[in-house]
Amino acid sequence: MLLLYCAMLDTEHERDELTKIYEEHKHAMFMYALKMTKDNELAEDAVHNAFLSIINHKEKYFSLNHKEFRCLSVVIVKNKCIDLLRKEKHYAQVPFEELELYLDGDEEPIEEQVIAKTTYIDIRNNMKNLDEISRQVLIMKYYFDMSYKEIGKELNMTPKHIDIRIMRAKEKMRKLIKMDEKYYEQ
Amino acid sequence: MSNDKINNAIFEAFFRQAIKDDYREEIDSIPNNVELSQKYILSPAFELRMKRLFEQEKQKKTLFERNNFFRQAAIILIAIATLLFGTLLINSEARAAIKNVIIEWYDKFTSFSFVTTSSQTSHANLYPSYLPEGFFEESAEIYDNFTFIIYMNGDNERIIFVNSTGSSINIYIDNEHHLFEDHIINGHTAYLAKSTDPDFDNAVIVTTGEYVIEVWSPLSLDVIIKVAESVFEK
Repeated sequence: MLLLYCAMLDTEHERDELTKIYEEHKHAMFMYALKMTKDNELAEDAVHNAFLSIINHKEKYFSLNHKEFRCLSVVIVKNKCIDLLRKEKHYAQVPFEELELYLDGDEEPIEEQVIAKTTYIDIRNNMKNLDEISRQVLIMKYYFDMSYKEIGKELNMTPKHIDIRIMRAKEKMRKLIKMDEKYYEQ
Repeated sequence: MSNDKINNAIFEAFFRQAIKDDYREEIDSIPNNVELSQKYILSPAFELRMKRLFEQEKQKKTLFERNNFFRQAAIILIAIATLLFGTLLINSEARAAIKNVIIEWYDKFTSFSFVTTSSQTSHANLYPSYLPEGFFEESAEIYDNFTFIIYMNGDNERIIFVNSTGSSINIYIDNEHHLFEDHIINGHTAYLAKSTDPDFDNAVIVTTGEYVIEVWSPLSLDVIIKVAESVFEK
């Protein structure tokens, strides 16, 4: 009889854990989803899909603390936004590269950036000029230390595509820094 | 190492660190939940959708993990019983006590055990052709030997349809909140579980020898019998 109650408690505990996680993070996830999709319904769909993914891997996610889960949940919901935007009728036939223009950084044009003196600060300042998909790839690679294969699975891209995207992001960053230096020297 | 290589290495190091620091700062800059909840309003339809998702998850756990738990618990109990059997063979009082515990434990649930003959994927084509007005397919999951569909209506009432094949299918329904009755549906053996508590669903279980069909819903038994019958009407 004790075994029976323990089993039930585990289920109840997990259900409470899921609800608790949802209440703690739903608004933050929605904020990011809305920022990317610019549509309430799509943003809600993205959050819903993100939680579907979380449920499917709950053993991994339930052990994370608040901060760790927040970091991961933002990445997950952004990935779901990318999926949804790709599937949206308007973009269904559009190649992935054009989708990145839609999700491009929304800051001032490169020429008008004010540069800082060191390489690190230059890079930090120009992060916002990277498109959202490239940023997602870079965060998954360098912050979460995911493999190309794992990143590719999340974003439905091949490992080679991931590799090229990272290379392009670095090249773009170098160009941005060089342009800033020229602007500064003028 | 050439200057270019050194510069590249420095750039690479700074680039990696910048990614990490930038993301960390971004997460830290997210407003607290009070501010977020004032600025970003989630629609009631969305909150309901999420509630259903969590309920669905719980239902799935109930269907799968209860089976798993009882299987494991049964193994443990049998092992204990076997162990004790040797030492308690001559003690009739002890034997009676163990027997009572097992009976009492099983008394709480009625178990339906089926063995089917169908292949793995052939179950996938059986669906109800009748649904009460206003019901639509809310979600469908098809696994190797198991189809799980939830139908909903605008009043958030649901019908859960399950279609299983396999060499061992066990369905447990608690006795405390259900009354059981045998039935025949389209010539097939069926079992009706009528709920005596509004918090528990009514259920119809039909076995054809190839498949086991389950229909669960808070709607009346008459309605879900009709849903179950429609699976066989083509």
